[in-house]
Amino acid sequence: MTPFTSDQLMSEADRLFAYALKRVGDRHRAEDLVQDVLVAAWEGRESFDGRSKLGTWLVGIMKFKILDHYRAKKRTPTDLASAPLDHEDWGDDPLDHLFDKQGAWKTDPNYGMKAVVETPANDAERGDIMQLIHRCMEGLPERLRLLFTMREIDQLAVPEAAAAAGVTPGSAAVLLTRARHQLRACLQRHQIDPP
Amino acid sequence: MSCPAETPPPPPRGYRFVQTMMGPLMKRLGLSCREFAELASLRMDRPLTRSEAMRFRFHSLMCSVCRRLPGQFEAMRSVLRSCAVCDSQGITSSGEILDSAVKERILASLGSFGGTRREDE
Repeated sequence: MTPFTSDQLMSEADRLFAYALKRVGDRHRAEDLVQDVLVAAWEGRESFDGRSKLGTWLVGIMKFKILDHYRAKKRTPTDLASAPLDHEDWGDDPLDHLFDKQGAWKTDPNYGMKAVVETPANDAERGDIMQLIHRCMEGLPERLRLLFTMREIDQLAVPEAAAAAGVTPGSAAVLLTRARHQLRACLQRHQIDPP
Repeated sequence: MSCPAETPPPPPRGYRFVQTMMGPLMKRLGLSCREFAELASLRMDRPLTRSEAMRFRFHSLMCSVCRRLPGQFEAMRSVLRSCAVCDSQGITSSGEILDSAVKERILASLGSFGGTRREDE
């Protein structure tokens, strides 16, 4: 008896597709990745011990497939082949909007951040904040969003995340700083309630 | 949690007064709030150098407005990582779904690797 059926496996396909699409930005590549993951999972189904959920196990496989995908041909996210690789060329620095010329805050950085800093009491609240963070992440340029996702959500080391996003490790630190500040400011704007 | 987006108020008056008096000097010494904010992010990606760590600690001690910033970044990371499989659970799904033709193709390829739906049962 197999630990899961092919129907159960296929029921995860849409979620895996959404996951992959966020990270590679191209439907065809995402479809191929889903196929690779599901076939690999099916071939290796005897190794699934059921200690984690099937979806979690599949996402774990997908992470490796996505990394392989970027490593294979040193690909970068779709539509970005001609985009600049260095942070100097990325235009607007969000920190310029947050600080004045002396490096002092223009607005109160703590106002409205209470809900983020206090540990959410339950999954629903955590889910609300997650949704908001993801909405804010959509405002990031594609490559920056990928870099941030690989680093902060997928927990890759900086050099690996940088390689996947097609930026130099030196630029990655600067870009991650920009992403964090941009997201922090976005969360703050959308969660205004006194600290 | 309220929407739509609003602009946060300016920092407290005391902060603005101190910045007016000390801002230029702090900037020259590499101790401005902007530098602190950059270090607060940088330390999440690599260990700070001794000099950076000293500036970070010093600023954290003297600036109550910046003090909570590292906690905000940590909290963001914590929420994101605590829900690392949110994508797989559909919590953050973009609503994009796989074409049925692609699903059929995948299902067919599973069959060629030793199984069909009926055989699995």
